[in-house]
Amino acid sequence: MSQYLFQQLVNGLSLGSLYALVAIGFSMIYGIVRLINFAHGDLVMVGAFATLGMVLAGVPWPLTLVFVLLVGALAGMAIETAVFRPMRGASQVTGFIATLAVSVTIQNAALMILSGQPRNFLFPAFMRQRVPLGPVNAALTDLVIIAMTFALIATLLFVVYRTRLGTAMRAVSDNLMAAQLMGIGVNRTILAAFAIGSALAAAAGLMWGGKFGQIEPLMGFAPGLKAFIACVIGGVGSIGGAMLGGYLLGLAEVLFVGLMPPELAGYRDTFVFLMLIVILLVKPSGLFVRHVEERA
Amino acid sequence: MLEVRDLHVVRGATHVLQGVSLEVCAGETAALLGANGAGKSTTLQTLSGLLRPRSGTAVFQGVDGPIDLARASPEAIVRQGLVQCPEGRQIFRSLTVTENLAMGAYARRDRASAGAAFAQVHALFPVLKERANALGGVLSGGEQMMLAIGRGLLAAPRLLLLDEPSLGLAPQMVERIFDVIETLKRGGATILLVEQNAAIALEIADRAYVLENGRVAISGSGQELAADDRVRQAYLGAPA
Repeated sequence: MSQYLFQQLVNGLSLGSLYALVAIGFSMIYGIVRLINFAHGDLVMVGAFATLGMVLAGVPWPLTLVFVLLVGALAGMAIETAVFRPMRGASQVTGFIATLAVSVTIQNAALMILSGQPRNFLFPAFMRQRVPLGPVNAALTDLVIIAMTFALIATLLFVVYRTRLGTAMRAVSDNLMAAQLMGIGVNRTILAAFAIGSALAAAAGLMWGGKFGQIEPLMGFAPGLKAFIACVIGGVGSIGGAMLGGYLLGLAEVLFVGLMPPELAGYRDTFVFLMLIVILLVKPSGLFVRHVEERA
Repeated sequence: MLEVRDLHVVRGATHVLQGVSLEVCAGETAALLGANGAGKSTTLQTLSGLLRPRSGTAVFQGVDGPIDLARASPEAIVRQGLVQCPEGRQIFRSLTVTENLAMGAYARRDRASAGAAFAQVHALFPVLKERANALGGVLSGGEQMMLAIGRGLLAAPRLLLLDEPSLGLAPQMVERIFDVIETLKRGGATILLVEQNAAIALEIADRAYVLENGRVAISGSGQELAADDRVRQAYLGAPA
């Protein structure tokens, strides 16, 4: 395989990892409260600035990752408790508008506190080096992003499919009334879903900063939108679908730029949204969902 | 074990329950009969804490003593031992049979005894063991009903509410389900059964109530109601 193609693949996989991490949380939250959470992308920004803050405070990197996950989880829980819980039972449009309001609030609060000036992310210099892999080589940052995402997703799948809490989360998402009748603490379970999904978004913020080098208060918009598209591609509400959708989107985006003539590179997002439209026309339930589940 | 006094429930603009009173004693099987829309399911949903009554009380002798179901949370009610198998089975379609049962055991306090309870449910419904790893959604209607009852049993009920267990099932399966209810009853279980199929419900009920327009219109022992002319004409298909 040529170095060029390999590099594009690695690049696509690492971008896809970021999309997948954000999309999974997005999808979990939709699955459990049927809410398209447009504030979800802003947690990527929160995670990125939390990382920067800790780096400036001299916290070592492994500890930083733990803290960022924690900050993300707490932010998600705060949003759920303060805004979405009181909205529960309201119509979907009300909830949707509330998530937009939360997003605008977070962005503007960040603009006020942090100023709109983009900042350098201060990723350690050794992460920029290239790692030789036989005849080809890849950026260490990309490899670390791919490996960290893999570890986070594996942990998530374990929690969701092998633990009592995860099973309860799936039960609430499947049938809220039955879950209540089984004595499952619905509020606690929804809170946990928000915590986990938001922690993943914050971790994606750390990696986003590492990959692109600069962060700013409005940076959450793009990952939020891309995560939404990844969910639509994979089938909204399914974790596996969101993950595959995220990787597919990342790879498609990078390969579009890499394989098409350079003058088309500026149409990257046009291509992404074109893909969204085609998928919505051809298979609106998502590529990886076999049938649209009936909802009683 | 359960004493409901003058329960009023309003859903939207409809005054669904207009003063329902009933009781269920320990070890008894009570049946709640009535036409569609009489308020049977609303009664059960209120008892499980899913709906809040406008007025009235529903006192249940829970594990830790009496609680008022009109004020407790659904979670607390299950933990006190009032467990409902809801209408339409409402199993978790995307969870496996075993996961469905595990969710039944979610609110158990003595998780140590959950293993024995699993074995009991498997003995009652061997098919749930055979299909342990099948998704709930692919089971047949009868199997789903067994799963719903098994899931309810795993919550360690002191009082089991069954909402329309015969709904949508083949006659053979209805018989099978009622055999199980009979077995549970002989084992000392306390059951409140909601049924449209009055004939089969009155066969096993010690006590029965007929709801009409949100009120208890007729009540008495199972045999009394089976012999009552109004019940025979309206619910058992006897000629007028």
